[in-house]
Amino acid sequence: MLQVRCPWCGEREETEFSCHGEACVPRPENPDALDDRAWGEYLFFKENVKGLTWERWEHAFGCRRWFVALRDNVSDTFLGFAKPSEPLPSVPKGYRQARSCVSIPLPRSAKGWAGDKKTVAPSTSRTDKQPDKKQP
Amino acid sequence: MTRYSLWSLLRHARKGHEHWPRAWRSPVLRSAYDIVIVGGGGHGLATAYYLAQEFGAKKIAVLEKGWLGGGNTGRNTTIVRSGYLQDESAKIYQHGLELFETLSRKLNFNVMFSARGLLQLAHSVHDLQEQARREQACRLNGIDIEMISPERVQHMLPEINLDGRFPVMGAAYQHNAGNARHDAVAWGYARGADALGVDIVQNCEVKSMVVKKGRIEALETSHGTVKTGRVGVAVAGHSSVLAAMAGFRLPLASVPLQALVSEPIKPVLNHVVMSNGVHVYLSQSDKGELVVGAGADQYTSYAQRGSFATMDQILAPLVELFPYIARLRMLRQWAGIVDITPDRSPIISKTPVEGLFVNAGWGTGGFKATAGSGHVFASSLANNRMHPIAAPFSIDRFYSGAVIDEGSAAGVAH
Repeated sequence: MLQVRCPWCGEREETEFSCHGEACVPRPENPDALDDRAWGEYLFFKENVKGLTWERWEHAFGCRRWFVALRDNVSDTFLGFAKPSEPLPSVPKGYRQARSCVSIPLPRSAKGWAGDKKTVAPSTSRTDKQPDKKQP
Repeated sequence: MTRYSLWSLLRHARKGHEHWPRAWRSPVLRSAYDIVIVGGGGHGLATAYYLAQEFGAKKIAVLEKGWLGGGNTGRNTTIVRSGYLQDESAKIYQHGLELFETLSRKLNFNVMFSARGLLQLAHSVHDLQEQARREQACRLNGIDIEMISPERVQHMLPEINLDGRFPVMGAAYQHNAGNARHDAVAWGYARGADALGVDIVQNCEVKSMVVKKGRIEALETSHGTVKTGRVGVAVAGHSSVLAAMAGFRLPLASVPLQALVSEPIKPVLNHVVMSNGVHVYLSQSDKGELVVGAGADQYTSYAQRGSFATMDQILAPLVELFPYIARLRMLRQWAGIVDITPDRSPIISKTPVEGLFVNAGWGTGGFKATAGSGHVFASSLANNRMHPIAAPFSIDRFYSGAVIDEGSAAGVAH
């Protein structure tokens, strides 16, 4: 069973938590202006990376607070946890090379937690990619 | 291809079974193909087979990263059924079921399809009402399902405990659903496709895609570059990884779905039993092992393990339903990485890249559709136009809102 470290409560069993998917998907700035394509992109289309992924977790059967976890989903290893007020967890030095992570996942928004501009995204080589306009 | 028959069996028996020919070749990858299928699982191999057999396509290759049927094809609980609520789903799954019924004869390979009947248990009034609704919808779509009483459930499954923590209040029974041997399905299609000239290349991983002016031009693989104008991707859990190579995203989450088997015992279970309420799938294999299917894990993962918590969660209600299972030892446990869509229906679609088609998102229920999915995908690839049964499963539905919502129809992923 996975052990998840809640930033408030410490290490607990996986069954106390619920995982809410990719972190830092930017909310639309102006929802009224969105067309069907943009709504579809926002709601349904995922990076679904193989490798390092930043996720939102909730300590559902505990303190019920939310946090961001960085996890390698090839080995299911947690690499860091952060409260909403803290910077996103960053990838340990040399980890990518050691595990030969080819795909480098990126939070889609550099703003971090729910648009909080004070938080800083870890520096990565890939730039934030906008949805391809040619999609069907 | 040597036809398998009683005579060939007798002939080879006389020689001590030492000279059986290989079931398929191990060809060297050529530099160009008309159509390349990525993924040598059931869906990919079925697609290649129907392309060559029914749609007259030439120069086809199937590229497989590992070995044939080594992914989710070999990791499912082998259930074949078609009792889905929505019309679009009913059509495609029923199409698959009907193809399964004659598959052994068509492929000259015993896929051991056994229509032993499938019971979907109801544990509450709500379950009963929901299943009655699905039963009626299925009957309108020509799928043979009926609601049966707890007494009949007890008669069919003498070992079941009807009065557990979640009492059994009835069941939906599909007569012609059942199991097939999953490896045999992959091998049968591989043998059939190979005999029709399809190059099946194993241990050949696609590394990147060459896309020019929005068209697919070639695939870079571990065996070199392959030029092709048409590619069908059928790689289940890794669909997003392949889509990223072509520069687009898919509405998928890859999560582990696990199964486990017990030690082999004498025949004790004649049917397939499913329970959405406690989320258990149970059947007995021809070897005598009880095959148990669990729910999906809550987080995305590419580790083919599955969490202990999920296993724990299904074994408790399973023992409640069938108390004798408490005394069995479980022999093996594994997980497959399934690609789940938001509406729990598959994606069979063209993509933003011209010439690149995806067959993905089968989530937790892809095996039952192997034949049907392969057939409609082959038709779509051959004609460059989506087959009418496949058309509603386009990626576009996540923009238009015309989703095929089986998630809320079943109450669970399935």
